[in-house]
Amino acid sequence: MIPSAVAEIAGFCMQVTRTRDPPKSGRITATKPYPVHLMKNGSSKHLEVVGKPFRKVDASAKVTGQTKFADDIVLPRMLYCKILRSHVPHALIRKIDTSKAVAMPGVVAVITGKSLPIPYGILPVSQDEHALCLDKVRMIGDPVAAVAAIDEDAAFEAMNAIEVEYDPLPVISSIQDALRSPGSAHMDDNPSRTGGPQLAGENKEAWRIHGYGDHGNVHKMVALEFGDVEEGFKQADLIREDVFFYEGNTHLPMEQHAAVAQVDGDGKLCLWSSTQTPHYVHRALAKVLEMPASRIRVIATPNGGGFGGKSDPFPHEMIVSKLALLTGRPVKVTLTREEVFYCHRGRHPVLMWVKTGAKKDGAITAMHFRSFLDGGAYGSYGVASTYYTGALQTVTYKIPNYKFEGVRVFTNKPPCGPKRGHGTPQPRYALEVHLDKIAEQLRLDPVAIRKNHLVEPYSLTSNYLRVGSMGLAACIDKVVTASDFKNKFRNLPYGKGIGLACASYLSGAGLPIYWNHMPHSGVQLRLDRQGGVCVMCGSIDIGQGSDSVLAYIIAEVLGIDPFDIRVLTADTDLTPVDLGSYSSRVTLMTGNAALEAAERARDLLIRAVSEKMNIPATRLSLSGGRLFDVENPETSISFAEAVQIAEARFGTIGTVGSYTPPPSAGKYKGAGVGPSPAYSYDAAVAEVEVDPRTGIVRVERIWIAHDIGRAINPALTLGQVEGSVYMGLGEALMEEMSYRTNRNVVHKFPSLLEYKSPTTLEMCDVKTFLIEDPDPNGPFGAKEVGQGPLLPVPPAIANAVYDAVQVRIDEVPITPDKVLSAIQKRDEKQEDEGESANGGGTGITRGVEEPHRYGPKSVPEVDWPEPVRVKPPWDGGTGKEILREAVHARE
Amino acid sequence: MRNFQHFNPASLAQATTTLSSKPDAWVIAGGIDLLGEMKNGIIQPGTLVNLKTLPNLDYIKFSESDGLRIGAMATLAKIEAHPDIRKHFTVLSQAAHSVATPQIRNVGTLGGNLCQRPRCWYYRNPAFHCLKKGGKECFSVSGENKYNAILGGGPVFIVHPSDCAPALISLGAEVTVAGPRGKRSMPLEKFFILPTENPLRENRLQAGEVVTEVHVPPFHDAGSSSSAHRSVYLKVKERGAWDFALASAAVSMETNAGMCRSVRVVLGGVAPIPWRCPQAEKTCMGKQIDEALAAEAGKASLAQAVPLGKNDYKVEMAANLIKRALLMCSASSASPR
Amino acid sequence: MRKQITLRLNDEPRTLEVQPNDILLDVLREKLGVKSPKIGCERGDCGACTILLDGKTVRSCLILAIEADGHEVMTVEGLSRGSLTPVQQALLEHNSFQCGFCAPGVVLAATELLGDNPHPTEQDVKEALSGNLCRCTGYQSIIEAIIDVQEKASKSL
Repeated sequence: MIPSAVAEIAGFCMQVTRTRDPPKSGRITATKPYPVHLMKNGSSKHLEVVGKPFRKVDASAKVTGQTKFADDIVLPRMLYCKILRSHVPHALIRKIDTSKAVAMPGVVAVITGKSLPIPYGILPVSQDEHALCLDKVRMIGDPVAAVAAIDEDAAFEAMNAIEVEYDPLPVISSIQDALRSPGSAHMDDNPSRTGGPQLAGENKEAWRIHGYGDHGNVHKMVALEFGDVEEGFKQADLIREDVFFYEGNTHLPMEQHAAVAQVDGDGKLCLWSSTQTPHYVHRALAKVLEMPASRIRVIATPNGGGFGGKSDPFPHEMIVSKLALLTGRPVKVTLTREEVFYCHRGRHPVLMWVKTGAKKDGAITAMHFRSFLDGGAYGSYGVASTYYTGALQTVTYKIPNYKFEGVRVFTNKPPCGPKRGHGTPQPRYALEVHLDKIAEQLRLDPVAIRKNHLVEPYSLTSNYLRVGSMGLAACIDKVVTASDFKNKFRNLPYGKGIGLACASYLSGAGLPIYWNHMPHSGVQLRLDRQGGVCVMCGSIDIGQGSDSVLAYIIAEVLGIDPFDIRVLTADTDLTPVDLGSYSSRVTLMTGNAALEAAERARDLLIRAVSEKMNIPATRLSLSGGRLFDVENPETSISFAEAVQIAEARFGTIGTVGSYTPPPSAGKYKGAGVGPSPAYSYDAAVAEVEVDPRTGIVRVERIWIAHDIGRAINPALTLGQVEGSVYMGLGEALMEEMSYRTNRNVVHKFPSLLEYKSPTTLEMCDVKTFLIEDPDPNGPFGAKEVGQGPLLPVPPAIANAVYDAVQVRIDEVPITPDKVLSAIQKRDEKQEDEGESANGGGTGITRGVEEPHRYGPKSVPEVDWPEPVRVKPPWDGGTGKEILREAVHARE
Repeated sequence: MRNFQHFNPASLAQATTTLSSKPDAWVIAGGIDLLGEMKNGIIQPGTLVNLKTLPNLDYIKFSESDGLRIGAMATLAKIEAHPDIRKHFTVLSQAAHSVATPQIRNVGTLGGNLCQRPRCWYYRNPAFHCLKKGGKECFSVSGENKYNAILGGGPVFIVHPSDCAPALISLGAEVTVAGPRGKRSMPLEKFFILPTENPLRENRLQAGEVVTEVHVPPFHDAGSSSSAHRSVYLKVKERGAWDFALASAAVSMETNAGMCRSVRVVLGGVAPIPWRCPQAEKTCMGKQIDEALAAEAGKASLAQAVPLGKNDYKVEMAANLIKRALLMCSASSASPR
Repeated sequence: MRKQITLRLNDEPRTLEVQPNDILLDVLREKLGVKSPKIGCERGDCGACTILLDGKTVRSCLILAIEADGHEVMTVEGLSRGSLTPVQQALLEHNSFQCGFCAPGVVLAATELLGDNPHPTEQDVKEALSGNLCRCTGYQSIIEAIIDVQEKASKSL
């Protein structure tokens, strides 16, 4: 039997429990009512929808299989598209011959890069992609040509008939190769050492994957220093250095990307696509197709899973649009699973070095963090990813002096980008394992070292992130107590272990992807005289429940049933802009926009009714589908009647709401990544069983407490927590995007069989606690839940593995071969008494025997740029960088 | 997937005649492995000869006197659930259960499981013209060989992916094949061939031949009170479902008064064929099996192992599996999982 | 090479022409208008294309349409006519699905399980669903719902 998961709302001492006998509308029973909520206008109300475990508004369509995904769309005279992709990792395109393909039966159009010459990219600074490669391919899977034909078979045959001649270029397959390739600042004079083929003529440009970036194959280098880390290290009682590696992995949405393009009789283009970011796709299409955006409509279809993998504009979206324009017929493309692996944009493989100084009580005096990102063949979100590997270290524990250096390189592999937790799970894994090692060295309890040095709520960090509500202490208490951590830690029998880790994540990025001062989210509300309410918003439901959140919030304010609301989303013709379903921004940002629109609508109704019925507006309230006089509850009218009165008074009733995040406190170069209106917090304890004979790690249970601010719907919140834990578990134990080393970096696992993701049999039991401490910036106090709960899972498991078998696995995923190898090495060493038991720690380790470990030994030498220096707030800093001259003057 | 002729034969004879007369004809049973290969473009049959419409090939018959007979078209789901197999041939029911996923076991057949092609990355990827596909090189030697062979490898280093084969060999099974020139039987162990014999093939099926039946002989002394027969299949995989063995061990043992009277030990997932371990068997024969002896048997079986660089872990893993399986079979009270 | 086949789809006889290399999943989706079986991998790995063939769950991406001749195919469209089945009702109440792409396969796998074994243990449910990958939920909400079906049924007796 499954022990019921528990969600505890600490802030209000309210307990909700998953139960076998759920109420009509969901699976969670509230044992105590929600308290009165103070509304923005100063009034207060009992919450009727928010905080209740309602069903998702689209739940019925899901269980009957009737949700319409992009590939389910069929249009009359529709053509099918197939994309020919490069089978070589790096080459110049000498020639493309499409003549045979064009002549084949059923083929309607064949295009190459010449048809779509304009570059694009998700970030303004990385416009480095082409829908079809122009003159060069940079990875296996790069699109080269495309066919539209009357059916999929004809398209496939024609695709195979296209002949492409390539002139091979040297292949860059690793961070080290990229840093050392000719033309880089760290150039190695002997190119053969990079492992690529020798080129006649020694053309240094040939080694370069892109003609832009910092230098060579270095895409981006960043260096930031807050306070003075050297000074901080001087104050430390212990200085520790560690090296970690987090292997890349991919989103693996169950739905393969698909898109359908259609041109109507007036020449307007409509694209349906399984995208998380219809607005950015809209912008990119306008640019690449050289068409006014007003003549393009993008409709995001419900995503069959996203996790960040559908956040970039993709070549196939441009290709079907172009083919539809050329042929005048609808064109559909559905990627194969193999193509989805090549599209990737998943977790960056990151090599990390961290050096921390700590006092005897565990207080951190300084931290220096370096990350090396293997970016793959294109920019994607990579510049942001690079900053993210250094941004959120500071929002959990106090770090008075902090230095971050990061470098992202180009390699001839599918490009990496944002996956659930975007750039932060890797450093969080490093940080939390590193902290566990520090605690052990200082003989401190891993709970105490964390809990005693937490960042204060409502404070500014050294890198100027504005922390709001901060429930991490409560999170830690919950999981430590529930798991009986203190009694189990270091006391379980060999092979069993327990580990703790914490984390934090954004509730939406504080800055937009392209620079502007407009809102990040807009909501339009239309009320009709028969009582119907339609909400329109650019946000897209990727399974996380954003459509439902819109309905719940509006229903709460207008006092109606959320299932009576028509939710119309993610259609650039009909809905106001929302930036998209990424960075855990939707509940907070669209939620706030919806709240504003709903409150404006409510105020119109109340004003009109107040005038008409001669009752002071302050006495009128909306609830249960009626508008009534709170002092005279028998005096009431239906919601529809209220709308009619308002429409008679004001004309058609429609309101808008929008949300723009507060300006960030940091003003230095690089301050754009990291700020958020609110940070969620997590603590997790993992209990594992490690079989020392096979190295197999089985996670038995994870206790996780998530500081959500306020759960708009605790049932959906639980789903997000459990899903995050699941994905973290997969990353920790088995998932990896790795590449065959010897044969031109062909992807090793282009299938769901070879790319291991957990099934029902690997999924552990999850005990969830929700900590509610409403954040002033969130709608009804809500913060994010979609990504944060993933973060503590890999380090908690790694720490538990160490507790179980006393070897450190400093590399994710923690696969059986790594565990077995570390155990074997330790056992061999122990047999050989002549040698010291030092396992080759990676740096300064004073006086304590280092446990055996599996993991990287060092990081490459890099000439880091002079850091951007910023004075922390407590040193009188303003958030601006110290001018270079001033720095030099001081020196 | 290229088009082909699809043929429903009226009889087994018609099936084998068609198969032998058309060089590009392939047999389709459950189709799980075959369609995967066709979709990946590794094979392009001109004709598929469907065995599913033939009557009387999916039986499971058991009697104390004759033992167990399974038609080649019996599905893995039927085999794992069959009460007699669960009771008397635990190793086989466990092996069948360990294959893939429920939906695949509902379709996949015993014959298909025995004749499935290797899962090596290089073989499965059409971009590599490897030795197994008639090329010149086994790329696993210098490449990604985490899942490749540590025993019996060379010149190709695939591992045989079948779970049922090691289980059945541990039970001393015979296989019957039918071809244009009639039927023939052989011990299942002899059915599989090493790559040194033919790098392109994994078994002795000749042109036109198909597997029709597997027969497990009855045990001796089955009724004697002091004797016991136990069998067990242990499989290590990276996830619980839809995964092939990193290593597996099938052990079938007869004990009398606690002494090992006969035993067969077979490894899966470590060699190009199901790998019989005579050293382990010799170590155990006539002895009471304890922890030390079982460990010795495991170690002896892997003495000849030659890892390729990324599959060293398999050596210790396989030795441990043998040890554990032997102990499970010999424990007087333990009923194998 | 075309051949006419007849199958019963959701209790309705359907006759159509197929090519030998037509995959049942594609025929269901493209020619027979049944969209609930999803394309997730086309290699039998993910379980999104699960259908009931003669009452047993199978991967329709690894079945030749031509070999479905004379057989019975059931998809989620055929399960629920107007009202939800107990399995669907439980999955709905437990908010089991997020993106819902795996849902049709999960519904059918659970339906088969409860048909064969009305009182499954948690382990039985996990085994039965082990071939249906879900990337959203961590399975917990799904497993819980399916166990709830039998508990509800036994309560109503």
